[in-house]
Amino acid sequence: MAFSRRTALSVAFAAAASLTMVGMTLPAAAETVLKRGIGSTIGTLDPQVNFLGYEAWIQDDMYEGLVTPGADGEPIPGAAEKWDISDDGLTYTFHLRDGLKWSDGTPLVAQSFVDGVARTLDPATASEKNYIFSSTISVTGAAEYMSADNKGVRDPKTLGISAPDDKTVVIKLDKPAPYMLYLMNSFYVAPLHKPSLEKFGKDFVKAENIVSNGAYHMSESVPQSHVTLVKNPNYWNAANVKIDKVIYSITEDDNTAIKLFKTGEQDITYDIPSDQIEPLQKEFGDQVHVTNSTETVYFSFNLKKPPFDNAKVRQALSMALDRDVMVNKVVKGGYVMSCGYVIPVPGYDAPKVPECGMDKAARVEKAKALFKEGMAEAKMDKLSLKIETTANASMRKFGETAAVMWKQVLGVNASVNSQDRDAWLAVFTAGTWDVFGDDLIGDFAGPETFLAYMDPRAEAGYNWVSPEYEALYDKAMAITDQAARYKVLAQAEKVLLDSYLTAPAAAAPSRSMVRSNVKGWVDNPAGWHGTQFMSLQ
Amino acid sequence: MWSYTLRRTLGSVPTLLALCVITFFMMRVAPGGPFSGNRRVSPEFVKLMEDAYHLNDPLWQQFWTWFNGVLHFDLGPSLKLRDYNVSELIAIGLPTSLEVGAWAMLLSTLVGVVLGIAGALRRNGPIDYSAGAIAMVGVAVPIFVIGPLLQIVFGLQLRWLPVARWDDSWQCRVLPVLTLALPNIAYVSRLMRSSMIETARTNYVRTARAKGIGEWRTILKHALRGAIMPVVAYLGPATAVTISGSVVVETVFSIPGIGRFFVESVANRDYPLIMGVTLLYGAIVIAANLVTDIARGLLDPKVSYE
Amino acid sequence: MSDLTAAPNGLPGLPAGEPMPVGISPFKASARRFARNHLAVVSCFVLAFIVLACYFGPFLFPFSSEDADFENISAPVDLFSAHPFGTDDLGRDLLLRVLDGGKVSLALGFFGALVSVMISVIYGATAGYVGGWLDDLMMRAVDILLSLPFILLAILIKVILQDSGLHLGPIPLDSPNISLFIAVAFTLWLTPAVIARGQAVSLRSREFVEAARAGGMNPWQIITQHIAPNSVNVVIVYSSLLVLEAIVTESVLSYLGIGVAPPFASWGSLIDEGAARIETDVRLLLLPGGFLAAVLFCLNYITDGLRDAFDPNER
Repeated sequence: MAFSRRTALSVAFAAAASLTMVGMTLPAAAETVLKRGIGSTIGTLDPQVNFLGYEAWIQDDMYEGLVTPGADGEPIPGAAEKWDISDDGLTYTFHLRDGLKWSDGTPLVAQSFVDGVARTLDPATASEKNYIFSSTISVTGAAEYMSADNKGVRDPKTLGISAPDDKTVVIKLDKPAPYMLYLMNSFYVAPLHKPSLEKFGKDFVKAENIVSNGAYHMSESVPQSHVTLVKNPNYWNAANVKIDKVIYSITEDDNTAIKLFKTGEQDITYDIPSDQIEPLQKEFGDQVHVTNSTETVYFSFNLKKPPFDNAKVRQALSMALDRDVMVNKVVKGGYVMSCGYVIPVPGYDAPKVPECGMDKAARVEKAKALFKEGMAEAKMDKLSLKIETTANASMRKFGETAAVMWKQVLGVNASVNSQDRDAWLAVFTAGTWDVFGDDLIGDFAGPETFLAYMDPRAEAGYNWVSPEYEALYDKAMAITDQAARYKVLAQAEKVLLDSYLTAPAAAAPSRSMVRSNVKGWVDNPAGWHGTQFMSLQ
Repeated sequence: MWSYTLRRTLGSVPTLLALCVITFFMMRVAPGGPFSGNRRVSPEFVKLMEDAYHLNDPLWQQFWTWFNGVLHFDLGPSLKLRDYNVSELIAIGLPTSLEVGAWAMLLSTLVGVVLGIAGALRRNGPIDYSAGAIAMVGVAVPIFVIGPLLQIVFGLQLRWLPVARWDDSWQCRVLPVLTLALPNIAYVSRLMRSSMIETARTNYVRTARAKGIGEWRTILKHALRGAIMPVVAYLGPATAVTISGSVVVETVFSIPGIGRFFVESVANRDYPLIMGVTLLYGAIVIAANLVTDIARGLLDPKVSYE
Repeated sequence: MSDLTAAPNGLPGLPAGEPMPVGISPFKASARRFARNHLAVVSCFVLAFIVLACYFGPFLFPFSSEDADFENISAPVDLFSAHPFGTDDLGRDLLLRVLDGGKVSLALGFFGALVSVMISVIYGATAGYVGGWLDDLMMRAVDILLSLPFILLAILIKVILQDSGLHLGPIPLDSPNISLFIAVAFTLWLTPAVIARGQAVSLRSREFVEAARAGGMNPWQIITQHIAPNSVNVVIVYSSLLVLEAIVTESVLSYLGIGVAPPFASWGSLIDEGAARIETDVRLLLLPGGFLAAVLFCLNYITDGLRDAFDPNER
């Protein structure tokens, strides 16, 4: 972006030129530049701390984990070229490639991966990713390492992750986690370049100091503006990396991002505003990419508050929702109607709430009858409720639509309270809510991540009690064969749906404009799109 | 005049200090914290994270640590933009915000004064009416509507100017500066017009005109100096209006300034960043008011430095 | 306003020796001047019409603004249908929603201005009448608050109150809309307070105040019965400007995502929704934007008219 002011002013066609040449340092013919958009401001580029979806995009380009998300998001060998899994599913041994190097040319050893995980778990790092190791996959010793009682004497040797030699990383788990490989990419297990951390402190992630091991390394970072990555010549697969430079620009306003795409200043946008999908499809055809994400949207009921402790009332509220109208006519924007909690992946035979197949009149009648019964059991005759949502426009629409439908079908006096995410979560934690306009973003595409969250023992705050669910979940986790495991998981989800703890609503989309000359973009629910798999034509 | 400036400058220190104390404790009264945004992190761990940033120390102690830092030009770390210190963020964002703000102030003052004079001289003529129309648009259409409209017309339809981009070229400055300047153009031109009409009726201007000095010379030499006083007096408040507007304009045009920091840092409970930006804005507004008062004193013999 | 006409010495602040029409009170003279300002008078009528339309118009519709018509989502403008200006993306009647939004914006504007006039006059009168260290302290407090751009002040107050859980008697200060109202009103009273204080200082040594003091009234009585009522008129000239500022402040907060909470809407929040969809459905911006602009135009002309008519320096 380094246009000198004098040049720009002196060139007569500056206006025209700036539209076509933006983002190029030099109009050199050979250099290929990809301009990608990211949503809001970058919180941090610290590999052990960052937590947002678009931070993961940058992280994935800059670092390589033990595995790498392939073009389709499925794990492929990364820094580790192969791995062994013990028969009990509790020990993973990763074998690193020969001659791995950091971007500064120094050798990369297995211990760096151990250092990275240890740093993530240290409370002084204040990383929100630590729960991955303590609860999503239970790495031996992780929970104890994190805990407050352990102050001052944290020894990485107590952790179930170790590097017996420079080319081997061993991870030991307390419980089997058959989805383990989905979490071994750089977003969770980035190696730590200890010398630069020790030298620069938290400034080690600044562009002038950073040392990384991915296909790209950072050359510039301007807060609120952009991050520029250039090809890392020391990457083991550098010969197959086709794009020389990636510029990630922050565009706070989605509509602005679309305008930038239209004027050619962005090749890939981070999102598409809901109402623009149809007009953009007319104008740009298959350059509009809309696909499932791993975000599931649902309404949760507060079991501690009458009458929501009554299952019939909850079921009635769920049945009163016309999901087809709600998702396909009101919210739109690529959201897909959902009849269950889990976002299904191929091979998972998802259970459905019964109202999904019912015709409208029967559904409404059943809802009314159940509501009457439930309210009588709860000894209440009128219901007023508040739906809490985030300020996100689509989430607000879900809330508003539900409020109208509950009013129209059940005569419930429903209002919507939408606020910023922190305040919204504070209401949840305080437990003062009636109905929560809820969402969960899975850590990967698979039923395990969703069902682990709803496990009553995970204490997500729903106050749900279900030994049956817990038993099924434990049973599933012990099964290494995916198809067999999915079967048991589906039974667990059925238990969840039958309890009507939640009323499922939709699967959120992942939406991007991708210019037609960008090759190698593959739509995938986990949203991995490594630049190293792309090329420009 | 120098002693007046010195006295006013010293007098603004307690004001700033009080502003900081109020903001600091007000923010801490509000519940929530910077690390409560993720449901899967356990409350115990949130507390450990807060400990890492000393957020559980006694409040007065935290304030003292922060204040002590300010004395050493250190505004502390940002809790949400974690790669940076607040001082760094301000150092990076402030020049951009200042540039846009300064151009907008300059443009609004110049255009406003010219439109105001033209309107006053040719009352009820075409210039007066068009100046009036511009003023009304500036007053009645919020800038978060003007901004997107300008983007559509000049960025998308005509393709003369970039929609939203920030680099060294002059083109990307045009729309944000114009958007930010419009409300003040409106206000200044109206102020100038009525002040000019009033001054034209005063005795000294009548005398000048009676002496046979040409119309334009009368205006420039005699009337303007008196008539511009309300505009000069408005420059202080105009700074505050411009800062408020920049919060919106920086969002619409994706400008990497500090205006956006404020809204986000309040919502995110990024305490050090809120404090840093509050302190900065307070200092700018106070400085603008001081400069305004000094300028008034220099221009207007009737104003004395008490 | 009868207090104004009863003021012992005519309009305070009136320069001595100003010729007075015989047999007419200064207030009536000002009112006549105002009535001769056609633009201002027309604006009053237009404003009154919009206010009536917002408050009574909705009764003419067979449905309410919250009734979603799922059969008619995003219906286009069709003046002769059930939804003359179409519906929004939930199937709610757009005109009705804009009228309802007007209720919120107007109420916020007028009550915000009213509350801030009351606060500012009492505050300014107290500071100006009592004088001394209290005056210094109170005015310094105003200075401090004025040194923050008003929008930042509004954001701070809104966000802090909203999450505070505070209640004032039966009023939940933490409800999104009440905290919004307080935030907007709080940013408005500062400048009028400075003006009112100036007026109070000049009233302090007037004969009728001296007389009241000699008659044994305590300071609080003098402030509320003499100083404050006679300071109102200097502030009232700004009242229409305050209404305007309140409406604009609310709309900016709505744009920044911390305005009125659904199911309520205001012109600001409707414009915000519309501005985001300017390219696909410009109607969503133009209808609320048009109403807002019309009201702001009117308030602006009324402000000019009031200033011309009541401010002696403008004659």
